Amino acid sequence: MTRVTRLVPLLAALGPMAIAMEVPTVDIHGFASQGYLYSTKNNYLVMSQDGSTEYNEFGINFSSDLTDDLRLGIQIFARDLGELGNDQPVIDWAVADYHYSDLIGVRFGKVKQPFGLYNESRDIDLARTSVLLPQSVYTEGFRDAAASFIGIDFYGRLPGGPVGSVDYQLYGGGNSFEDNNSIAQAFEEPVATPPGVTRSVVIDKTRVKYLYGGQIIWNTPLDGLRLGGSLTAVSVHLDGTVTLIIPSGPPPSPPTNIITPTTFALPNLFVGIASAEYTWRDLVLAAEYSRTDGDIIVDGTPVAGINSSGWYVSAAYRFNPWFELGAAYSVYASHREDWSYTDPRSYQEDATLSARFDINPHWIFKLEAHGMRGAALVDRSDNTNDNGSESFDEHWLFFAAKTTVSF
Amino acid sequence: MFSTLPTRWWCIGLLAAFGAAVPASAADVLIAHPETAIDRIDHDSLRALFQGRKRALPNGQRVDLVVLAGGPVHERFLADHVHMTEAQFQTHWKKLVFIGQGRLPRSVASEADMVKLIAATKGTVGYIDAATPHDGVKVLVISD
Repeated sequence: MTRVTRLVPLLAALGPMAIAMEVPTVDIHGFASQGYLYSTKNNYLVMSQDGSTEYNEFGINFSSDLTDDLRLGIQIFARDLGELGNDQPVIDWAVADYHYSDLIGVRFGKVKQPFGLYNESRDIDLARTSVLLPQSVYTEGFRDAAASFIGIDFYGRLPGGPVGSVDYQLYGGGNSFEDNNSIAQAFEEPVATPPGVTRSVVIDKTRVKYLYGGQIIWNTPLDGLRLGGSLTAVSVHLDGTVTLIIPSGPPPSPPTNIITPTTFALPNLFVGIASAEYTWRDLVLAAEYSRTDGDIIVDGTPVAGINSSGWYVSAAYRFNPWFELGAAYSVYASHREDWSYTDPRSYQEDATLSARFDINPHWIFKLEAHGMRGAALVDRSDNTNDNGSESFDEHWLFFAAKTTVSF
Repeated sequence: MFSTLPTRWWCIGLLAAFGAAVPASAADVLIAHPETAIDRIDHDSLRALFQGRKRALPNGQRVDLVVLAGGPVHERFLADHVHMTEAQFQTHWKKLVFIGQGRLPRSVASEADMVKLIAATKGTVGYIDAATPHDGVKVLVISD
């Protein structure tokens, strides 16, 4: 572990005036990941049936302690996942962190959102054994609303003596995105229309109007056991246009185009997660359960409800300094009252085996295989026939390979 | 059959089996800059410090952590006091750095370098094997 870069010598070289100043040091760290995704059936996350390298992340951050209590930092991040990201750099986080005491501190700016055990580090491939986090809880489709927010985050650690300690975070804020984001993509998915009619949606603007919540992690007296709970309330609004193309008569009569500005909203989305993690030497066990509730509103009218849930159990074991194996079983249900498994679009089971190789302290490589049943988290737009109807397979395999370098 | 072996052969056998695995000195000491105001730290606070969940000593004094780049003393300290393996420690701190919630501890190549740096730098805390000379630094007692 090395402290990478110090800018003090550069500043000192500017002359006696610079030397006389109290110049804070700046740490610079970065990472770059490149992945490959392939599925036997169903295009998942990318056009995976053909195999795809449209899966990467890059990040570089700069941070400095201005005083004992105050730290500033920023991370520039770019990613590509199929049609998402396209390697356009964005500010991932940009934080002023005032650590008043271990009991209470405050971060403000653009802050990573704490929910579940791993959401804050969901983009950091080197932080885990697996390539993908369990999608039943850390769904890529909601990633852009869940990764970070602009606002304020109070945090601290409450000592509990013989009953352990509690790490807490309380936060609130909002966010906005350009049109290319995972939430917009979900609304741009095709829906069933009468024969001959084509409907398309283009989202121009996505706003997280507000977001607030809290998380507690209880570090129990049983060494290595952490139990946690997170609650988040989110209000998401999307502005776009709906285009209907309707045949006006037999050919060669031109079809009629109806273009309507439309507002979509998830005005009262609640996400709750219960978490448990146990670490014993080289073994890490984890389990989480999440549920999401809310309404989908189109131009002020409720059109559907959301009542999904997901859970997973996972285990990872490091055999030696360079090799780690992980396994997970993850289940997602888009309607949590319905576990009949009659409609593959309403559930997704995922049994995962992951291998991680630490080639050296700065370079890792991973291989992963998923046995899938169901397709609830598969995009419709990536899985349509030539005639425009959706096409899904219930049983399928999904493979991932990824390498990451960091400094 | 074994019970007929002389006791001294049992002793030699046990030493051969376990002696090589146990370092001559299996105790680490926590060291701090000599102007550090406290004399002892409880085990939980020490672990929280090296896990990045605390930034201050129990008296509120802010600290900068110093760690060894590797080796048996480093691994033993992590196992005994931080309850992490070397791999877990590395991954944990990198995660903190990349989510904007931590700054990597300073890393030094040897225990001699650790003593030299801590003796010269206010607010620093590190660890060495108890048998390593540590003039110029303060030893903090680790209590339960």
